[in-house]
Amino acid sequence: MISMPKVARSSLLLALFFLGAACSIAFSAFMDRHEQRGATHKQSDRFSNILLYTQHGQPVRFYDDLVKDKTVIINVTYTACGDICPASTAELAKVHELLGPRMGRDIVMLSLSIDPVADTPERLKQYWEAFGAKPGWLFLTGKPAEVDRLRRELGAYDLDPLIDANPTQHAGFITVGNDRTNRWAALPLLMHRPQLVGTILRMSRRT
Amino acid sequence: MVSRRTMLKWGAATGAGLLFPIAYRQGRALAQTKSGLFFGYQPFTQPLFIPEVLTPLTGRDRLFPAPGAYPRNPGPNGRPRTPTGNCNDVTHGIAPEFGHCPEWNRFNRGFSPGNTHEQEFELVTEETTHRFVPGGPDTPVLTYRDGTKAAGSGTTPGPTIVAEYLAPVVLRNCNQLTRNRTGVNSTNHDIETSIHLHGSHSPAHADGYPDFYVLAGEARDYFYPNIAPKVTDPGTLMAPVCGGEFDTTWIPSTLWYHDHAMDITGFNTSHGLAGFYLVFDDRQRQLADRGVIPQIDGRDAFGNPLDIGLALVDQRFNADGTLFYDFLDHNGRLGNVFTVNGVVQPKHKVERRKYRFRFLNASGARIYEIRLSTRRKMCIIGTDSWLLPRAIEVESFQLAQGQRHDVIIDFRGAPDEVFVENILVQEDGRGAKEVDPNKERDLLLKFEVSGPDSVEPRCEEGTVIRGFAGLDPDGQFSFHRGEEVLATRRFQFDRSLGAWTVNNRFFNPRRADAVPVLGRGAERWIFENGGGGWWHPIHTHLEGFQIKTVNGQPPRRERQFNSDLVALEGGFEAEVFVKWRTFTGPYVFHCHAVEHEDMRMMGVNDPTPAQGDPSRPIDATGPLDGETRIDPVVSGVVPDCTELEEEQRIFFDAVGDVEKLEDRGVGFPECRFDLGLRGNQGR
Repeated sequence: MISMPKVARSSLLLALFFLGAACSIAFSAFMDRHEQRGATHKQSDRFSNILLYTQHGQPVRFYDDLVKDKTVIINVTYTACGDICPASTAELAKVHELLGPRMGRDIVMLSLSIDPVADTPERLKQYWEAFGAKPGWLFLTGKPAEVDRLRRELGAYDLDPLIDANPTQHAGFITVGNDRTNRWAALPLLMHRPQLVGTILRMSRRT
Repeated sequence: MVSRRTMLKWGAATGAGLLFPIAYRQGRALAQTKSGLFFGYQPFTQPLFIPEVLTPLTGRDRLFPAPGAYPRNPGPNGRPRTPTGNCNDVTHGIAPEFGHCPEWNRFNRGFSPGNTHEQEFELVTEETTHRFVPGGPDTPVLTYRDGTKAAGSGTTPGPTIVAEYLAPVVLRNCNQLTRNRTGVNSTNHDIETSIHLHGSHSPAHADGYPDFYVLAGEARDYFYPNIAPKVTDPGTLMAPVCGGEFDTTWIPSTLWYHDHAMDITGFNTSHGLAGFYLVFDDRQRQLADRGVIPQIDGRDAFGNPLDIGLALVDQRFNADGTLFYDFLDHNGRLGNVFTVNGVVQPKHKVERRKYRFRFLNASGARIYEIRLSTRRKMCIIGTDSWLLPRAIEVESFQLAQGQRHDVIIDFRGAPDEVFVENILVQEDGRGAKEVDPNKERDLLLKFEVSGPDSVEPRCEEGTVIRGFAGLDPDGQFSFHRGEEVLATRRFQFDRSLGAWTVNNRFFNPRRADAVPVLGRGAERWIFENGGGGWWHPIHTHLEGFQIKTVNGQPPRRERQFNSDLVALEGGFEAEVFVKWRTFTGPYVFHCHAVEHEDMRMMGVNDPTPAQGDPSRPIDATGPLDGETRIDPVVSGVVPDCTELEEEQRIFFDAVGDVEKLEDRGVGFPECRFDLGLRGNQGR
């Protein structure tokens, strides 16, 4: 399994963490990280290292905990989404099955909720369970403004503001990236599944 | 004036500006544009780079192993020896099934019986550093290098390949973009490549099909016959593979080779993987002898050639001078630093005489409207790969991504300074906005003109360039005729939930989206841009087409003949006539906005020999008719070897098995696309 920060065991700890995140600790950590990685011009340099919560209620940093040194499969979704998102999520579940034991080992699936106010960790957990409670698959929620910024950094936006404002309009593709080798691509989620999985595996190479 | 230090500081400040997302987006790449200076470079002070001609291999330098004769492991699907990372490791050979015709094959030049073998070239793909401006930073770029030259001498554009009509070429490409073997590159990963000879009439295995990769550390042989397709027999409406006459209207001239590797074409081409490929023939020598075009190997008083390729790329840089690339910008990579042949805003000395320039838009998202600062007319003699029947004089011409124009510029009577300028306004990767001839001007290149006017014929509107009947200058241009059209296909290029689609489907390199009957008549293809404001320049492989209408109107005059790209603005629709001749598929047709292409905005075209008795009357209807021509039941293609089984197995394998996934099919005699095994659709 991928490494995760330990679950915050009490509300006090959680509150402390929140306080820290809101203050300069997170800011300086971010700057360090950026300066450290800036010279390499990795795609992930452009990702905000924002605080997110998984469906298990775990606080995670987007880059440090979820992307760094891994191959990631990212989509944007939300649980209230009608027909489109469940179809996409069901397809991701099938992709997950084909990737087998690689999932959670060196490949992680990240479903970012773009309705973070409604999509609490509890609700995301129900959604995750409805699609098989698969390991290595995290549903993420966070602060709306930060999530929205991250969505754009991930390429899930439309230059047309009307289309961009429609949250279902970003559900048709996934972003696949290997942070070790800085290879990234966006792929139609509903393309031929073996081709999709083949591409994920090709991009997940360590070399 | 902004010093380099200031620029670097400014760039570093914006680079760290993730907290200010708007500034970050706009300011990440160094602004250069109209007034600023790029690493202190004063525009139009460095000379134009002119790529060298790729050296043909002779004598002991010839390719080993010989093309088509590769050491293999035993077995029905024998793989080559384990690659060791040098150019002998040809893991993808040329298929011996091509080259049966007496009039064109690998081992005979039709017009020159003394030459009994194809011309051989070796091209190495390697990383090197490049200075876009003198005194500027050493920027890592991906380059093609002449295989006879020292490692590290690769250039962008790559060496110009000069070929002769009907003289076959084998190009061995060695991909040295490896992480840790011969030819380490700084990206820290193995980069797969694939070379497409854009605008050529070549077999599928040599066409740079998106996932017919040249994997890092391996080599692939490409076979370019340098032929034209055959004339369609007016009685049977069939164009033969062997026998018959070459359709001389389709003799290629201005081609370019560039990377076409699936998922990473945008990165590879923006980092330098492109070069010119020029084909010459007797007609061009005749035109040169008559003074219509400059002498083909001629030089001017400065020692420069009279025939110069100009590859236009708008570049984008990080603050430290490395190339900027955003894998997740799905609109397209629009640059703000204009380069010609890999150098920023160069100058070039010319005499007051005629020159031939092959303008190429090698950019990813930028569309140009090219004009001279003097507003003097330019004489277009070719569009994309092919010469026009008659010259066309224009004040400006448009170049969408991948398009070329073969242009005679006559500097007689010109002032001492002439700029090549772009007057098309473009603000983002979606596409161009409008021509603004008064306000917006991007200066690309300065000609420094000197000397007295030469005495030579002018290239003028209507000057005969190439007729259909070969060397007969009064011959008629060979248009595909409406009565030859036996099938109509419609392809809508659109966007669905953030993903690019063709006819509402997603690309699968193992599924054909069109299965034309090889050599039969012509087809009407309708390309429709589904809208949303994006431009989609649509490119077909194997054959070019003739644009009949764009939005119901004839295209610009210089695009009414042969083209291999049609630029579709948002919501536009183009109708083209096309013939699929000589070679069976698979080939792709696709949007040439490379970021769209990488996101799989492609379709597969698989021309297939007619079934049954070839003499029976042609039935224009049938299972592939109309909308059902894109019938998945009849159009799927699978290889007849074991890749599909391997695909199923690999999902549970450990890291390192990835090469099993890569297509080894076409080019291996034992593993071709098997036309009898159709129907693999997956979904």
